[in-house]
Amino acid sequence: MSDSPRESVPVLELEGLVVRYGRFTALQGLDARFQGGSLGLLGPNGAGKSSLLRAILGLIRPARGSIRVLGRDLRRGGAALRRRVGYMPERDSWIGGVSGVAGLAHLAEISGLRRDDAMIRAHDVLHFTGLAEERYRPVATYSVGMRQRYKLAAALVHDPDVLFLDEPTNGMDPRGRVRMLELVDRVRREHGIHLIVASHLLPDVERLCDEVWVLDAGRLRMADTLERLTAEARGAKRVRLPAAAAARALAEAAGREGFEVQEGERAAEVILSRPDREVEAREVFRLARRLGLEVHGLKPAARSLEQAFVEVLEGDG
Amino acid sequence: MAFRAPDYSRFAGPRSRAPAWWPIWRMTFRRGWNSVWVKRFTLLGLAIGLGTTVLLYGVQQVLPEWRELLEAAGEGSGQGEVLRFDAGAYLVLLRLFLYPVLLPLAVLLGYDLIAGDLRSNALESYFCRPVTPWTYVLGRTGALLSYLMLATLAPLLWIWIFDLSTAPEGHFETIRRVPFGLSASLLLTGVTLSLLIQALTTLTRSGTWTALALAGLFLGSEFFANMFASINQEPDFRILAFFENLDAVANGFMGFPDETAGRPGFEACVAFQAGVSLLSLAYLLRRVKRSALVG
Repeated sequence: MSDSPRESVPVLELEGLVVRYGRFTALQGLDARFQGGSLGLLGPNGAGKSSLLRAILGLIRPARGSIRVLGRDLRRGGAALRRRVGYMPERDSWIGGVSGVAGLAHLAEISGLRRDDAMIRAHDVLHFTGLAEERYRPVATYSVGMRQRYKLAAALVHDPDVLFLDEPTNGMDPRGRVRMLELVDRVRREHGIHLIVASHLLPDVERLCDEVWVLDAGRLRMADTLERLTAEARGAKRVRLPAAAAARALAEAAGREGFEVQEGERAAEVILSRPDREVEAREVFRLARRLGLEVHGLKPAARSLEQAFVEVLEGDG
Repeated sequence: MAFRAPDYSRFAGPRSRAPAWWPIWRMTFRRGWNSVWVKRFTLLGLAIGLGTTVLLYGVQQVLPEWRELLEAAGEGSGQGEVLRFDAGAYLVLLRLFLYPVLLPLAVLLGYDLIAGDLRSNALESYFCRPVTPWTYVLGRTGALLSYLMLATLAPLLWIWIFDLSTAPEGHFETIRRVPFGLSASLLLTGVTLSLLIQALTTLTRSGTWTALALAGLFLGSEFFANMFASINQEPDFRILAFFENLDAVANGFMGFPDETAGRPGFEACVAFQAGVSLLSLAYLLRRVKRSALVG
């Protein structure tokens, strides 16, 4: 584990952030704070995820509001700040006319590394991202997956404290996607680099992030931890029974006992919760035994990120 | 380089304080040197400079009084002209560097610098680092201009220094203005060409179309300059003629303003080139910003 500090200052603070492209308002007064760790920006296409990333990086000037990254106001310390962040854009991006490693060393130098260090780092990160064999080839000759990994290498080459990834697995095959997520996850877990990922691929966010912001039509619809977002109710239990009739019988009895009862995804499933405390396994078994029912499965009730995401967008979150 | 395991490691070394435009400048410069044709034209410029000094040295060794003999030959020709290796000779040399070296080099090196970056979306990679559109343009244009000066101004100044060191007393007075004239003329033309070519590349986004547009501009400017000048009976419209403009600027800075009737004025030509430079810079910055910062 790296000794990189998880700063006490928030990694990202937004206050009344408004971003406009001409008459179109892409972000409408965002207020949010990300203390550190890994954050997923979720939202349908056009929700404002990329605009938010680009505004944070200073690529777009906000019409109103303020952005603080690692405690620094973007308007005052933008250049110094950009030495501490790495950005993997959604579109392909590389320095033309030179080999992959030379282009990467060039970008590292621009971000403040000395010439020799920049070249060593360029080789290192290309090894790390699995592009060592291709490092002397022009990037224009790389495949889609290789270009994605090259963009990750470019974002990491100057060793940032915060890594911004915009659709990191775009266009990758399943194996390449898993490999990319592993690389990012290693950087996050083993080296303490803060991560901000914009994606419409929910499994990617579920794999990488602790915290989620859901954006829709330029507004922040929800900001919470992934754990809380996916938990149906704290301490709820999903009970699986042999048949739908058994599930109905258990639901009726549980309702009389003061449980809150919801239907599960399957007919033979029921979700039990208590408004005031966690549901204990033994009380579910006791109830089932009293009714002469056999419990086939019992586990904490959680909804998938996809369910949670849809509910938030539909206004149920 | 030692083998390194494929693992990520944090960087703990010292950070550089060099400005962000410096690596861009250096890479642009190196890219120029790596291009075969750019290298050939650069070597041509350096070879002309070196060849001229070798020639001067040889003549100096064989005929130490060659300068006096040259003057006598001029007087003896009976055409009333004085043949001297003075500022006038440097004007001829300047033209030799201006057209066969500076012009093709500016096109060969400049045509794909920003167009290439636009094609590979490199601007996004630059601007998410401590690089602003100004720094980027400064790095690219500064390197292009330095390259042009290396291939033209440096050999010319080398000739001047050699000439001065081997000439008799009093020769300095005849070539005193030369370094200023060479520098001002080449710098103004170099800046104008660097910015104009790069502005065009942002418009066309293609090296081929930029080269064609430049050829059209150079040739078309002669036609339109002639047309406007004859319609309005105003010779200053000839500042629009590209090659005539370059000539007038070189003549003026070297101390030989062409005051023949029907030729464009020196000041008007300088103002025109400065105007083209400013407009190109403004357009270049706007396009660069729009390409990478919005969308």
